[in-house]
Amino acid sequence: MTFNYIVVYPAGVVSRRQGGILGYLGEFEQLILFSVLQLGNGAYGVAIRETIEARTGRVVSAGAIYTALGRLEERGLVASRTESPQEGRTGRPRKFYRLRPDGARALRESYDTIQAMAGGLLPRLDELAGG
Amino acid sequence: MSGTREPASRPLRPPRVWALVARLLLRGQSGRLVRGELNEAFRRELERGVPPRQARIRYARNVAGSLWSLAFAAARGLVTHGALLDVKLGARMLRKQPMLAAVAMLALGLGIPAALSVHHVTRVALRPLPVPEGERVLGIRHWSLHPRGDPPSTVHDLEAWRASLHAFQGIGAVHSTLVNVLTGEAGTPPVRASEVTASTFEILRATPVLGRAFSVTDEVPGAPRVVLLSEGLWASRFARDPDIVGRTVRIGGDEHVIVGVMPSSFRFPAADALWLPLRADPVALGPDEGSDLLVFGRLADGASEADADAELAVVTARRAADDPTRFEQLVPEIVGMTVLLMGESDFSPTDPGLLFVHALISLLLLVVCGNVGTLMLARTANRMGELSIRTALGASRRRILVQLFVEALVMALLATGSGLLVAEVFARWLTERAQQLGDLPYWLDLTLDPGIVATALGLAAASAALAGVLPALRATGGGVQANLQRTASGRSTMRFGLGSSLLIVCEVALSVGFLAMGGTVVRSLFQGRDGRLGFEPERYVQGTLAQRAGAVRGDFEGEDAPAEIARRARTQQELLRRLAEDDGVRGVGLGVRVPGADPFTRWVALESEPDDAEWHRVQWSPVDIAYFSGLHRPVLQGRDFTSADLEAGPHGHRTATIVNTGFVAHVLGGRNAIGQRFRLAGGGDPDAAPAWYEIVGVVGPFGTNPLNPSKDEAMYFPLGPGEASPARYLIEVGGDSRAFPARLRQIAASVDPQATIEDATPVSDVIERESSLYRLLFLLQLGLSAIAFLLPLTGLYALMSFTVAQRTREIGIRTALGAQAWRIVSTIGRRAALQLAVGVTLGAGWAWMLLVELTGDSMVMEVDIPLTITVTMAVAAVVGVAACASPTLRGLRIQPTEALRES
Repeated sequence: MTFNYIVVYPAGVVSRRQGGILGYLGEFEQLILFSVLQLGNGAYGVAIRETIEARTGRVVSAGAIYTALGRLEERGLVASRTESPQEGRTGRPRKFYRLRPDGARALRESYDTIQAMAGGLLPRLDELAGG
Repeated sequence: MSGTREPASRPLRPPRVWALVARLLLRGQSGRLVRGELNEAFRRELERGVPPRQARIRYARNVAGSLWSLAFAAARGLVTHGALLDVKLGARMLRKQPMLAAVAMLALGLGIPAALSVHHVTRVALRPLPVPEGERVLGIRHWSLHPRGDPPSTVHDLEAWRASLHAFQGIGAVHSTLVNVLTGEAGTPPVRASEVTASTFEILRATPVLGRAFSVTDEVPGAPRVVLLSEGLWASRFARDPDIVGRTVRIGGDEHVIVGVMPSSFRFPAADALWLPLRADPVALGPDEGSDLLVFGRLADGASEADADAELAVVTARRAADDPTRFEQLVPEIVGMTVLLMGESDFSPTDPGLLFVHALISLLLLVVCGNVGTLMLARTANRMGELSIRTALGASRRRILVQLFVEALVMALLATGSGLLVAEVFARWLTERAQQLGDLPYWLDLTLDPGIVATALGLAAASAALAGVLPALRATGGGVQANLQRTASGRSTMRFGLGSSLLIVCEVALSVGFLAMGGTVVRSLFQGRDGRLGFEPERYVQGTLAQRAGAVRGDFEGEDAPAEIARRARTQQELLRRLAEDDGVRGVGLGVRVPGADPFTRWVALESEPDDAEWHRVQWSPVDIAYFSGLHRPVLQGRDFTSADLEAGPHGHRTATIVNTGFVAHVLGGRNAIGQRFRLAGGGDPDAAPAWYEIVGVVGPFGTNPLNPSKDEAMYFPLGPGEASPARYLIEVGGDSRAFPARLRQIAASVDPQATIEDATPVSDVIERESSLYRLLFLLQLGLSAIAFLLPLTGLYALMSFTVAQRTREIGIRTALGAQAWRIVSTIGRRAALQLAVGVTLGAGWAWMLLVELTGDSMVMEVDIPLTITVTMAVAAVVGVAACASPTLRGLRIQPTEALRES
């Protein structure tokens, strides 16, 4: 049996050979990446936060979004650009994010993994939850 | 709800406090970005129609959540990225400068555990009994304002407290002793037993694993004799016989019915093997009569320690009105069980004395940190070039601070970890030894608990902050340009401030005291004993004739004391006779104390000296009247004891005493001893006419204080037959002293099959055993003195290294211009020499005070204080100069060409 080196990550232990560290996403990171995907060119902190809250009802802090985006950017899953306020308008610079191909693949893999695991189990899950 | 309405004209703003928090804590580029997000989120929520109050609450939550997330991310980043590198750098620095690291680590490794030792011992002493709600079980006792010492509690106190203290739901008492358990095997050593009240088991919430605990009926004098066994004794002597309850066992002279077996977790109060009911009849005994008791109780529901204290004060005041003589100088108190059992003075964590000790030790730790800081400063000064270049290349000040902190932290944690490890090993050893001694509370555990380890590690981190960050702050304080320029010119950008100088002066002063103390301790520890003991311990064997349970309990049950003494006398004297007749024995004596065992001193005042003269501390030793003749010890002056000395004198007590030559030399100042009279502190009514003792003879040294033969003042009091308790035999043997204890037991068994000899050992072993603990304490003291002495040396070394590093160029130029070596030495060493001189001079006074206090101890030898201080000052000066030698030589080796080329 050969062991690839194991990476300890907050949510679990993942081998790089199986799926890879780039492919592993925590739930919160998945939510952020889906928001970035949905918002397209307008994905920045406040908008991402509002999307998550509107779709899931979860209230998250700006700091949590910012640090998670920072992590995702470090891993090469998203890219960012900073835009200054437009001419004549007051405001602040905003940091916009877009999904990179690696990020899209990672999100797809994560979603597929969940789906594969959940396949055929939902009725039983509902049954258990209802009982 | 009306409070939420906002004036229409004013734009809505986030809550001021939270906005301020965000402004203060969210800084830097990322902080600004998040702050912008927070404000925009707030504005957009209002635009979406969220009520202002709701929006403000959400803003506050957003700020708090963001702070938490950013702090967490920063900490994680530090651990995964920067800190690992810093840890590596720190470890590398330790390797690169091993001497500096060793000195700093030694200081921290010893300083931090030493600083926590008092805190730890306090916690251990205040720890409650390991029984359910053990903190509510407290001791009750009196202490005396009179120097004669605290009076023991008696059965009268127990009865009075039981009747009147309602703050306790139960009050019990214990009296410990040694008994023989006769189970058929001859010569087994006696075991520790405690007589306890029936209430003890309820108070301690202890239940037997077999049978029953004591009931009140067991306490009645004349009731059937019963005993409770410990699980250990049940296993070792009765092979865990499940039908043990109801069987009888012979304890001392009497058969006792076994009523139960206590679990192994119950050893109250101190590694006891069995328990007997405490049978006390206050009617038959006077207020001060009967055995010494330790009284304790469990607080009643709803009652506090303060309630118990107040009630006890009232009860004592009432008893004092009835019996003013006894209570005149007695103060009642409620104490913790450890304090009660160990007979210590009471204290609480907020005790001013204890707080003072804590403050003193914190100061010591601060000095240690200051010193390590000085060393780090010197090291940092030598690394200024590296730091400046890193700064110039873009490293932020924070990054450099973190690096220097982590470097110091690595060192401090390694040092503290090692120190704690040593402390734990020592604590385990001490705890084991304490349990072997058998007289200490069974719950006394000195091993380190997680709390103390966490505190130590916290202190290590704090020390690292003090010793690492403060020098780093100074080192990185200047501008990049200036630092680089200075670095290029070979000069350091830092200065050794007045604070550092004062620190070194104080430390040198302190070290002189500690050096004097350490030197005296070493001299006491390693003083030559051969020939000064007055006898050869290897040729002597000692052994104690164990008391039978009946004999010990006789006083308590109101039995006929003279009959008891007569019975004891027969056995004692017969054994003495049989031993004297034995072929292997050259001489034998009987006494309460024999050389090396149980040293006990009393304070003595001479009749020939004025009342306010200082009292003398003298070893107290009651002996059989045939002690000296039986051991062939000549009486050098006067006469030996005779049976006439056992008669009471005009004041109702025996007056004849024999003293030794140490007494004559140190107490009497060499005067003729015969006929001199003295009195003892701590006996009888202080207002009554003093009880004078008259010296009738003088004997030579005879191992009075084997640990410190230089303080061997001794006085001997005559004992009649059967009065020696414990009865210790001192036997001079002709052959192998190690083989004799077995013979001694044999002879004892032939005298009385029930008699056993406890602790039959060659006297040399007894002395070794007794001295090992003192030696350990002395070594600890010596270790602390050594650290205290080491610290200023490191300071001086750092100062000199620093000076040489700072003045390299100047020294080079002066050497090039032909300056002589001594001039250069005087230039670079002037400041260190001044600090050394001032420190040593100041230290002389402190050393004087310490030595006066230290030499008062009977285990520490008397020394010539002025001479000791002079020698100490000289040694401190020489060693101080030696500490400066290496950097000075470095300074002298500076080549002018190199120094100038660098500039």
